[in-house]
Amino acid sequence: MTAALAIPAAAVSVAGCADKAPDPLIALVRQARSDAALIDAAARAWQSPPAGQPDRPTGPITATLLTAVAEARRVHADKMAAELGDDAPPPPPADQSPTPAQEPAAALTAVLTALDASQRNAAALVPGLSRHRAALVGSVSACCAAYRSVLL
Amino acid sequence: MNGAAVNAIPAQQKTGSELAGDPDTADAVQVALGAEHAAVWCYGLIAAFLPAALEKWTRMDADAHRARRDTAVRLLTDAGRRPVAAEPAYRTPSPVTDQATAVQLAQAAEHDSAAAWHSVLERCDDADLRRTALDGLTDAATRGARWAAKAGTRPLVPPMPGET
Repeated sequence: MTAALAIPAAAVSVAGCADKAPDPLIALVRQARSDAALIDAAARAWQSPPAGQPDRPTGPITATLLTAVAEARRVHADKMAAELGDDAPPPPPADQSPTPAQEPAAALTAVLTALDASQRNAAALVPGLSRHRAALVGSVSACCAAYRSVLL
Repeated sequence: MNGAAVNAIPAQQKTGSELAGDPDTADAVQVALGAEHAAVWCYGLIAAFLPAALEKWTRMDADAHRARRDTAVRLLTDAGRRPVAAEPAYRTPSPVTDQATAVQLAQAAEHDSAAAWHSVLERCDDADLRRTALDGLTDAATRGARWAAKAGTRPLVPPMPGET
């Protein structure tokens, strides 16, 4: 009898979860983490271009700049995860597979596209959040925009 | 009545009513206006110490701050508030005597502008005012990054622009 009763109880609980839309900050945390990984890979591509690619005089400078952008995106992920508290998505497992060597120009283009999307997604949430979160997410959006402008 | 009729209230009026009603919001916009007045003044001083090659930058940045200043004046006036006036002169964080110190002042002016618009975000609910504040914050962070690149300051962009 106990087991039979447990089924409707579980069903109610699932239905209750489905009614609640996920916190919009969760997607921004995931995006910040995936940006950081993408930007780290781009920094490696600029630091040591794959065989056959010409060394660029600006390579190390761009690599250093990209490393700073990746660091900023990790700060964004941490700040927004702290804001989410128990609702924060668990950090992804460390990637064991080595990232294939990338062509530097293509890697940079991918970073610019990612920063564009991150700026837009964060900015789109600003009007509807609490005051505290609007300021937090607005700051994240501004950081992505500013780095994008200097990476051009 | 459908949802669209509710949205048909002019944005200006909605912004004005929050600015008219919430002293916290109005104070934050007054501080942002004060930061824009100061930035306009700073760029006048900065221009005197920068070479002709950078003249376009300073002119563009000064124009951008004038536009933000005018927006803030209009928002406050529409809400029946008296916008704060510009001071005749401002005290700079450190003396401006050459190109390097002029670029430092540009960075300081952008830092202040970013902080002021960030503070508006922390103190308003109106969607249009939030967009205005986000634009002010984003543009200040972007100009600040360019001046930081010129000065060799790192990081070029603070991870959380506007947070103090």
